[in-house]
Amino acid sequence: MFQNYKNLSGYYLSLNSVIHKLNPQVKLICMILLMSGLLINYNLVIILMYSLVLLPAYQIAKIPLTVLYNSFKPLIWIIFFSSVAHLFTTPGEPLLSIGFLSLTVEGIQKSLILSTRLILIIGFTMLTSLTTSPVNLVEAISSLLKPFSWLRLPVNQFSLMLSLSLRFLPVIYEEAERIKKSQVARGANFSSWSLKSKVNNVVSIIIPMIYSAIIRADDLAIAMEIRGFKIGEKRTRLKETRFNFIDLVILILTIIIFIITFFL
Amino acid sequence: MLKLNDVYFNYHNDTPRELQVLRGVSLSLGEGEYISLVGNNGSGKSTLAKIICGLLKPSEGTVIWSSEESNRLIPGHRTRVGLILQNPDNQIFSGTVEEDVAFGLENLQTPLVEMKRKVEDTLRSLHLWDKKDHPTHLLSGGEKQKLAIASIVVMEPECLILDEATVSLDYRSKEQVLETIMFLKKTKRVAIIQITSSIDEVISSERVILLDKGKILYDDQVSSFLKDSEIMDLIGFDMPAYVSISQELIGRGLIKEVCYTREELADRLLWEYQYRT
Amino acid sequence: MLYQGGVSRSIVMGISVQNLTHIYNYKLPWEFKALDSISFSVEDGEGFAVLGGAGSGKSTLAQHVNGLLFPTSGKVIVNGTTVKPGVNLLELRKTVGMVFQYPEAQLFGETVFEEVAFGLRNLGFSEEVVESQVQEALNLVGFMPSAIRHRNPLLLSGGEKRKVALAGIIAMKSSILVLDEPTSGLDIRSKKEVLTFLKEYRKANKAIIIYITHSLEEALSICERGIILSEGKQVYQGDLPEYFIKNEDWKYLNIEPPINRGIALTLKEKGLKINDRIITRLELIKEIEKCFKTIKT
Repeated sequence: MFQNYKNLSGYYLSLNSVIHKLNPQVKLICMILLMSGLLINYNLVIILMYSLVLLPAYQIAKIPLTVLYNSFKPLIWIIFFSSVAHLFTTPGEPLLSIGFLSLTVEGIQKSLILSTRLILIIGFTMLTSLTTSPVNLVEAISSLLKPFSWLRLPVNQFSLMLSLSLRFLPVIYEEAERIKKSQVARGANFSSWSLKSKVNNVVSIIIPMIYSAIIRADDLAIAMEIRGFKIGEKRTRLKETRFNFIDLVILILTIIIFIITFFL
Repeated sequence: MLKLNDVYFNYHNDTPRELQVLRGVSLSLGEGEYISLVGNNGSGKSTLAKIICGLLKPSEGTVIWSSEESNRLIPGHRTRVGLILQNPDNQIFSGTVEEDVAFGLENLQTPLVEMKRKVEDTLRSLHLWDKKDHPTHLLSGGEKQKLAIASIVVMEPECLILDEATVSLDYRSKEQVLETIMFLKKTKRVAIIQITSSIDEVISSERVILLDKGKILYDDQVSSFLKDSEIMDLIGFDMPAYVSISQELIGRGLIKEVCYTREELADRLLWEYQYRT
Repeated sequence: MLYQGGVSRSIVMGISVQNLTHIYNYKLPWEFKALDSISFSVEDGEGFAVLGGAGSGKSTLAQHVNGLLFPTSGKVIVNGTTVKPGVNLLELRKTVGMVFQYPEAQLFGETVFEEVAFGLRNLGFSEEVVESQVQEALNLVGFMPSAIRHRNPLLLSGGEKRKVALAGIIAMKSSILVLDEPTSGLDIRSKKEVLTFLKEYRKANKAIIIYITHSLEEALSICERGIILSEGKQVYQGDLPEYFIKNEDWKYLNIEPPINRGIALTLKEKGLKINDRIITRLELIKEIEKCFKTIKT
């Protein structure tokens, strides 16, 4: 069912907001800058500053924070345990001692900062993929890779492969789902512990998938050739990504924040 | 416009696995003609389609287009012949409708201004303009197939081949695709070849070519095809509903001629009725 | 669990669907309601059609009958047992055979025999039973078992692949068969064959058949009653010809319209005084004759 598609294609939420409309290249660069900023240096002020960037950004993008919460739910135990570890292992003024473990002021501070930092990093990545359609994201990645084609790396082919895989991910996913269901309907038990039945059941999905992938590849090759596609050949483009004033503003603001990070 | 002279095709030529698929196919196709290509499984229909498209080269014989060059692509950022396959999902490469229609023109290095105009014209004429920014994977099956057609039509082909293109579509989508084909035929004089196993689709065409074991067994107007019960039996076609109803009515002396569509049948009955009163 | 000798009167054979609602991605921003309070029941040995166009929710409905999906709210009861996570699903799948659209996509066996036997072996039948039921199933779908059993299913023609896939389900001899557009994409000859052996199967096994389709003609050839869906909602339930005779809103559903009534309606629109409440071809011709007779007298 098509509802799964949205789910799969990087959680893209097609809404109409300023952030959705930003130049995808700018968005990608900003995300990289903000994430590196967070990794380079951290203290309470920096964390506060980045939070003050992230929260309004979600507001502007019209994305409910529950979506963000859902996405780091699986990581919540990791965050919890690493904070607990930091709580008791950071040297400093002890507030409370249990055996050789001691709770310190620095420990509280550090665990708070580190867990918030992890949430912030996830937050910025999510924001990018929630507001940029997969196709645009791929284009942005390819254009950032473009300098590498001077080194005779096959950037064009790589971009084509990337965008075709993205395009077909939902189709293939749906197909796998359907094949799995029809084998389950024939009594295949995918939660069985016996190795023999496990192998047999996996085979019952993989062979049909390979078979259909071959047919699909054949169709694709025909359809692309019919429409005049030749790999490596020059192409014109319908949509050159635009660079607007707002993109410039956002880029400059992000660079300023990134530079400030070093001095805090 | 197109002539095939004694075309043979073998897969795995000159190997022990050699498989003869086409055995001397000759046919000619005129501008704006609408042909149904029918035949049983393995009769070589799809292979013939690929030969016409230039995807395969005949082992023997020639494919000649009216203008001299035999290239598939012709000047003016055009293609000579388009092919639509059964599964629309395998023919769409881009994220949005507009980008997918532009894909072919991009490959032909069409200048931006011309490309924009052509894409807009095509989308408007096929009533897809309001969906131009729509993500392609959220289209319905019928819309996807219409998009696949639009993506070919934008390259202004002389001929469009549909290989079982409506088989996986639901009722309304089938009608949509059929309407689109009729529109192209009428307004753009595009020749249509549809490979089909549905008698209802055959009826909407003008000429039927029956391929059997790599040879053309029958090539005639649809009206005479429908009268030939022997040939219809050979490929397991049922008489279409309107034809058999009108035949029964003829038998009862109510009308005098065979009808092919609902409108035709209704009009004839009405005419007979008024004539008698 | 189901067949305890009819001791308890409360165990009713058949399927009962009560207020079934299904929402994909429930409680997420991209949630989607595919079924909206559907209710119907199918009795033992009945042929029941689920009629609807693309996106009507008919395939979602089908998957609830053998526990491939579970209701967001409402209930599905098969032979007295409520379908929910945790019930004995293998037992349920023995009772309910399910054929998806384009079932040939599931083929993977090295030979036709292995392919058809897959389901039976998963359900734990002995090799003897497997052997005889595979033979029987291949026979029923119109193959010579000895001629086809060693062939590679992936190398068969489209129609043959479909029949092998169907044989794989039929071999399990389930008392309920759910079929999602089993004839789509087939040529007319194979279509007729499939419909014929499904009818035979139903008769021989006194099985319930749930037939999902967008074609009224096909539905009528195998079912008496049915449900009509549109965008996840139940439009009608009951005797199918009756619905198409009494109503005209089927024009707005994405299903193949009844040909004969369509002609009658067109005639009426054009001013012929004809009774349009007909569904079969014979009825149509009789009505037209009647109409013409009135002028002669």
